[in-house]
Amino acid sequence: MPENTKEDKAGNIAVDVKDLNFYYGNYHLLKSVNLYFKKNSVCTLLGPSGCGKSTFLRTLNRMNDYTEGARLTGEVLINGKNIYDKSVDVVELRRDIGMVFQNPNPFPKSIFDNIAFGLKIHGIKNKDFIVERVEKCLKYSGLYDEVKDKLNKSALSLSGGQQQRLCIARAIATNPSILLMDEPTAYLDPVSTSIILDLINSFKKYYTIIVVSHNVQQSGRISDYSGFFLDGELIEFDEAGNFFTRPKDKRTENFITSRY
Amino acid sequence: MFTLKYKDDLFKFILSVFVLSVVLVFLISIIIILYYSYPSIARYGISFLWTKEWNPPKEIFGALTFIAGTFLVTFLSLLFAIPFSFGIGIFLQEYCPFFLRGVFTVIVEMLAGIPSVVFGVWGVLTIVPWLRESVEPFFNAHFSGVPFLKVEENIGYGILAASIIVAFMILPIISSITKDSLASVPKLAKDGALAMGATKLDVIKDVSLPYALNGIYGGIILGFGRAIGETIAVVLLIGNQAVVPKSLFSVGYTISSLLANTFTFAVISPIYASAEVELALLLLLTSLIINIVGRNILNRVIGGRFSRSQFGGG
Amino acid sequence: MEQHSQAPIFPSNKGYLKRKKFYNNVAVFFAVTAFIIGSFPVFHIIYKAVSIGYKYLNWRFVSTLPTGFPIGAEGGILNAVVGDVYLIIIASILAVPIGVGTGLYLSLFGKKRTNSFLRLLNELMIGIPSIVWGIVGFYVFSTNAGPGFHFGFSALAGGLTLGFIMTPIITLLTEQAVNQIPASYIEGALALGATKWQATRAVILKAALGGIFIGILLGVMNIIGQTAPLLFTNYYNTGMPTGVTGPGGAVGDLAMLIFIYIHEPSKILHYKAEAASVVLLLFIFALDLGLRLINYLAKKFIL
Repeated sequence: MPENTKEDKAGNIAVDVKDLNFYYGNYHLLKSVNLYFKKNSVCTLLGPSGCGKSTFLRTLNRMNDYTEGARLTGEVLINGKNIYDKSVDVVELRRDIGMVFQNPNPFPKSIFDNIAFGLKIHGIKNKDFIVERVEKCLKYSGLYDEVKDKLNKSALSLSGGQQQRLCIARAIATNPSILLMDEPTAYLDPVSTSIILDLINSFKKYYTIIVVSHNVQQSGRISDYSGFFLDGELIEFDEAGNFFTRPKDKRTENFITSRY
Repeated sequence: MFTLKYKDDLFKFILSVFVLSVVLVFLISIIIILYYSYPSIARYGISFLWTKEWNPPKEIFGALTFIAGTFLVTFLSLLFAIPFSFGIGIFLQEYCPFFLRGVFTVIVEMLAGIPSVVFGVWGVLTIVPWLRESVEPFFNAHFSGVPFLKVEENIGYGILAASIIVAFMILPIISSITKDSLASVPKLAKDGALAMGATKLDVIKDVSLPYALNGIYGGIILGFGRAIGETIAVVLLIGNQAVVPKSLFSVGYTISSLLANTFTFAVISPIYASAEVELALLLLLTSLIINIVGRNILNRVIGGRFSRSQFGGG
Repeated sequence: MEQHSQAPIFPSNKGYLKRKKFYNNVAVFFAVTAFIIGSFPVFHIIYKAVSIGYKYLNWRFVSTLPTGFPIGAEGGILNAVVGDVYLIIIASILAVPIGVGTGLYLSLFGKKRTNSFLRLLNELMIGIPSIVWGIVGFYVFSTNAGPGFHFGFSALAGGLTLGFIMTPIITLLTEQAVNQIPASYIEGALALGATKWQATRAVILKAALGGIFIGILLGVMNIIGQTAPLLFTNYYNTGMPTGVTGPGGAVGDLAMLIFIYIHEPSKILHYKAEAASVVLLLFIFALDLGLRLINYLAKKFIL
């Protein structure tokens, strides 16, 4: 674990997770998870499928609220405030946390409307601002040149890699401070994967990025910090340099070297 | 090996006979209706559809009154049922707390299981007095000048009473298909919107409905098909008078209620019977066309799955 | 690479959030209201029927024949209960083998084109209005003039007409039940060299039995509430049938009894119609319960 100094707590922590337990029915899915994410860093969370890493990611923006039989104890502090507190508004919370999913999931709307969606549902009506913002986000995600002539075409007409970049553009349109990514390259070809990994690297100046992945190599390319989940437990969390070269736990080492 | 092969062929042969008999039943039904309606078609031609004198003793048959009544009841019942079905489908799929969803779905399915005649009796004992004692006097006092809302006879029976009951009867089919269509929206698409801070209303409006709309259309079309042939409840409520309805509160007659009331007498005269069978042919053709369209849509959207509510009673 | 703008783009706007929530709550209100109004008849129909018909709800009512004047003023509804049993049995004799057989054919042998044609045919048959089936049944089974079976107004004519209505329901649910069996089950049996008949007997019928039963029960639930097809094929009998065809072959029927009683200008008959409605609803809800039980057990133990 990186040193947990007072100084860090003062303002350098984006997300602080304290003793988080998650139950699905009778099934104890996350067991007492403790960790924090530093601002403007890329953290990857690794682990075999079914280890709870995706569930963990979804607890950070309360996406599990709508899961039948889900129950949660512990705290997730974002900017020092527990997001499971009754006073927190989920809508406002999620506006500040972008999320990108495993499969590209653009809405069945035009490319433009996909990105404008977040702005519109949060009450921005200024057309010029929306046009400008859509253009900017497409540029950030490196998609602008490819789609600038067909912004009114359906987003579903794009290739898989383009769709995923569109989803990234969509996620940053509301200018969130945190970006959650759930295996964003799982279903992409190598070229698209590479583009997206580069994007993630260039984005960390602006966002705190938390990526769930089961690909050790890809994680090594982008991580500042890395964690390893197994059977709902956080086995190890460390700076990427230590994590990938000198894992402290045998199980982490097994996972990294056998490259699931 | 020979006997095995033989058994399998026999098995297939027997099943084929069953299949053939279903096709045969379908064909025979259509042929019978065509055959017995032919004399009327030949004699009255197309004017059968748009003249309104229905006079069996003089052998003058024009079906406009009944066609108008049928479409008016169907149209009104859809008008009433669609918003409610829509709300029920959205409620059950999106807003209902998980632990209540099962029970509430059962209630809607129970509605689908209630026989037509029981609905009709309930209408006679509940809806008709309510219309007669509360609704019609109110409209009579406040809207008597409005063309389509004039209360001619304050009796409770009529187009409105029949339409309300038929609306309740097609409610389960449209709402269950709405629910199934909403359920077939990819979870990932909805998650995408939720994760951006959309409320459930945003998700329904911007993600679920665009996906589910086709299925909902299919449900409405099937509801139309059910409403158009609804017989027993309508017989009990519509007033059964061969007049072209001029108001929501008029009495009227539909094709199916006319058949129910008079077909047994009509068979005494071949041409009278034929005219009535031609009315049945209209119902049959409309239902076939509607179902071909509706099923086609539904097969694409919810994969032709059958939910309970699609087989209502009576 | 473009520089991302770092300025917050949303002014602190609590009013907007409130409005957004308000709209959502309006939608919830609309949906809940729709549900309450839509499900109101279920409760009110049962309440009304029981509160009006309760004094007749006893064993005597279902076990005696209607007597008195007008007929039914005294006595019970035994004729209708027995008649329904006749009709269900006759309809099932026609519909169960044909329905199950066609459903099996659809899921085991049919080619893609034949299949979609046959499925559409069955779906269309479900959509045909029941009054039209009544007319078809009249000309095929009841009428004494022209070609046909000349059964007269009788249990056989009525039951077979109801069988026409029941068949496509059983067909489609049988097909659905077989298609829900994991492909590996059937392929496993076929890979061992079993013929389709053996696979059907050993694997498919066992695994799909629950679903097939559900289809049959749904079919019975549907025809038990039908009145319109019986108007021209069986009509009604206040006594016991003496056969299944010809004069004396007609049977009573609960739905028809209710329909006839409610037309009579007699309060007693209206009360009895409601009491009969309760019996009919009880029967339908019992079938419904059985169906849900089978569904539950099938999910738990077979698949």
